[in-house]
Amino acid sequence: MKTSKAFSLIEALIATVIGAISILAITYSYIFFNNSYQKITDKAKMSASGRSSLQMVAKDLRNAGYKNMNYEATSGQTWDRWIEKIDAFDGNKGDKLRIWYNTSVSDRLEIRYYLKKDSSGQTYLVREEIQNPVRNPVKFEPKTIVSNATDFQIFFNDQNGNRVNNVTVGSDNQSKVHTAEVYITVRSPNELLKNPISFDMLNGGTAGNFTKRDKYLRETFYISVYLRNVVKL
Amino acid sequence: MDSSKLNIKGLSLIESLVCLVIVGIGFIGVNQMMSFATTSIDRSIDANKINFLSETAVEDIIGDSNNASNYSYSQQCTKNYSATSTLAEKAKTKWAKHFMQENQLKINNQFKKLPCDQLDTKEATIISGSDRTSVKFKFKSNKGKKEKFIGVVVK
Repeated sequence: MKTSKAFSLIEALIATVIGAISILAITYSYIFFNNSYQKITDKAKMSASGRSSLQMVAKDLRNAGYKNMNYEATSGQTWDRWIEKIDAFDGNKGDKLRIWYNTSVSDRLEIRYYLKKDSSGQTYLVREEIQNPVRNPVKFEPKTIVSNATDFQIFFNDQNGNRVNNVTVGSDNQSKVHTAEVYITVRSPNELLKNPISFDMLNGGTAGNFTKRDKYLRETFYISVYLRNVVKL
Repeated sequence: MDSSKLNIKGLSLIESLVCLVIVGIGFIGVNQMMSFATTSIDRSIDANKINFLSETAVEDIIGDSNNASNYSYSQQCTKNYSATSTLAEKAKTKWAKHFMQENQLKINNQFKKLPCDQLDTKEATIISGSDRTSVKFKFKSNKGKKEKFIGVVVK
């Protein structure tokens, strides 16, 4: 019994210091790994939603104005619409895009893309389908394709590369479009920045640009599409 | 008391320090891995954008296939096209702008640009034959190590 000793003060102090350093390192690492993981998953989500949404819009734009070779206009079904853009739709800064094309000899499909606002004021991009938009329209619920979209802009150019404005149903400008430029700005689902920074959404022009200042990350994805069916109408 | 119990010792200071260093090296390793993962996801986003930009260039050539020969293009990190007379020149000016990500997103009043090195070339090569015209579009990134390639017969 005489030889059994307790810790000396020095040993106890060293053990406490080592323990404290270990706990600090573990806490710091946990916070760092957690933040990094959040950042990586959020960026992956932004990348995936930017890619899939732009591919979807591009595919629909390539179909825009497709007229079946045997298309027969029944009563009230004149071939008068294939593409339309509405600026700053529904009080949001983003545009509304409408596309029409034949899905059979007599049927058409209308696709709409636009930004919607949720209860917290955040915007998201939706795609809406309407079957037979002119004759017996069948509307489907809009589907969210980008749950955190800050901006959605469309621009049309003519065959000389000049911008075409006022592309609406019933206007001659519908026939002048040759290419469409699409900008989608995607926001991270969570706040990832330590301090707020300002993001200017120029996205193709100065007319509709706006600024956001917050702690979210943002990325803009862009594509230009040749409207092969509209050109050949 | 049994004398064998008295010989039981705990970890020495040296042993516990060595243990701490090993655990520390492990943490540094995981830390490096997280940094690598963050860089990789940034590269993945850039690769996405590059795919769309390459498609943009090829779509523009397809849309003006009769004049495809006017679309030869070469760019590194500086914007060297600014002509606006023909459709081909306008398209190339547009590409130059978008390859630099101009006119898109400004962060703290500065354009968010794609990382660019002198080896990161963007080239459109037009090959015109007697019966067909084809386009080869290359977009190099990551110091020339990665290459997005699109080859298409336009006419």
